[in-house]
Amino acid sequence: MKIKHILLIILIGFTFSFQKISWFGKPKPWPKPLYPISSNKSNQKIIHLGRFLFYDPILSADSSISCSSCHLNYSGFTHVDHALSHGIHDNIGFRNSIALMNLAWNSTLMWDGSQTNLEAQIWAPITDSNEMGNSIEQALSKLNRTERYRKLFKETFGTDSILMKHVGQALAQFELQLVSKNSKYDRVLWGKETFTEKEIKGYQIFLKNCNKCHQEPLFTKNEFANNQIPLNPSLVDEGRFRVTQDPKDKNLFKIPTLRNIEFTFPYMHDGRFQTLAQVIQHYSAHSTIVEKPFSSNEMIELNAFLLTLSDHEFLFNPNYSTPHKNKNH
Amino acid sequence: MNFISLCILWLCAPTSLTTTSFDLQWKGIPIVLGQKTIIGLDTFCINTLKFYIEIPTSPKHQEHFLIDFNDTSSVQITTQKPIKFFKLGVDSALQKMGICDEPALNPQKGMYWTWQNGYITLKIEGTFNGKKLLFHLGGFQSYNANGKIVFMNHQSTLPIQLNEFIATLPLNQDLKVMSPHPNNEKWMNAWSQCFHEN
Repeated sequence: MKIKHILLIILIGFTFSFQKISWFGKPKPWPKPLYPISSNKSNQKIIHLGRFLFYDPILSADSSISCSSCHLNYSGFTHVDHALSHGIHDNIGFRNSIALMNLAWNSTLMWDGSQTNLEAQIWAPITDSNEMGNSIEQALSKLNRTERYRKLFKETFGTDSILMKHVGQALAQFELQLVSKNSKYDRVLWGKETFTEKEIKGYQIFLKNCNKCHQEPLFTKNEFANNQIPLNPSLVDEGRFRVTQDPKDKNLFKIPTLRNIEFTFPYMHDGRFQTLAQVIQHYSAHSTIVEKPFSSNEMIELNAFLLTLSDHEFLFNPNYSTPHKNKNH
Repeated sequence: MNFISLCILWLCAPTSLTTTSFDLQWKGIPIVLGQKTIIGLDTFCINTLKFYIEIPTSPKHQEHFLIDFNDTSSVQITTQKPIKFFKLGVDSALQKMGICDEPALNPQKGMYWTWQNGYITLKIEGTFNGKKLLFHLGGFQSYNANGKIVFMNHQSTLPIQLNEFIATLPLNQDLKVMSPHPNNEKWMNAWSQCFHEN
């Protein structure tokens, strides 16, 4: 009897270890970063300065809104709990702020791909009347009038005057540090953890239905897609069309990463879905996107897999949080 | 003749500091910005007219100039060699890389779109026969608004016949263009053909 039990335990152990290899095989290597990091001299001083700026409302017209107001570290660097992000004077923007992570692998930025360079992109929210409501001149003037920043920029870039390109480089270098690659999914791929049975089934559902757009390992593929959500009549946001004016691009939006999706709610470009379950239900109802509608169990399993993309080390990394002693920043 | 051939031609030209001026005209008559003007049946007031030109300095490099008719110093440009041709706008590949370091391309000059990265090729603002005109022509991701070549013929002053360009705009109502537009190519062609004597 004892020997039988031991054999059974060995057999179960063998089955599970075999399963692990056969499901996942060799972990997928990450592609090369697309962002020309080499053109931006990355060093700790620049990153530190960028982090200071990211959390400082000084860049907004009335010093009330910082980058972090809409990109909070503990929510995957997006604006949690607001369908549409709000900015200066409580103005409401027309999109849900996009989560910031793994930006070096993005060929375009923003929901409509309107930005192709991170150092340039940072000026879009600064000058948007619904976000930081500032002008380039005023933002630079405020920085140049602040002794702490004059000193920090001098130490970092060696210039007496704070220039636009230096602000862009500093913020971009900090944002490029926001790399999320230590979720349970990653650890399973590297053989350090195992999925539960529910997560394995969810992963299979994901591969069949979601991976064509949200491709591993970044869970995006730098393209734009129509996810079949009806046009919001109060916003009339036609996505990529705004940039290209090409009718083929109507209602196409950037395919966002699914990493840390548990924390980046609400979902979609206009934040119309509050929960992951609502998102899964939406896709389940669209045969152009999924093979066939999901059963209740399949929805639960897919949900369970998506939760394995949470990277707590990334979300609660003290190096990514505010460096300011005054937490109101 | 392709662009590389043109660059080689440019490089072979003798070196001597040369000045070239741009002269804004309406059917051959010089016009001044900010002044109500009546010529023939047209009544107009152009408040802003700015545009970029790109001149090759080597096969891989270009120098950019912002011609701004509200800034008289920018209307006359000095180059190392006589200008045989120039391109309108800012090279698309350069725009994709974000904000450029060249002084003429400083976004604080008001020719940079911050909502998307990219430079405005041509900005015209004012009124025309009672209609408001807010026209920003640009774009590089789609509906490219760059790269049209204008040839020069040893002139030191190059007139711009603005009426020919305005005639291509749908000004039966107020016109606001502040994004890349399906008519970009048509408008760029029209803009490139305005640089001549009346």
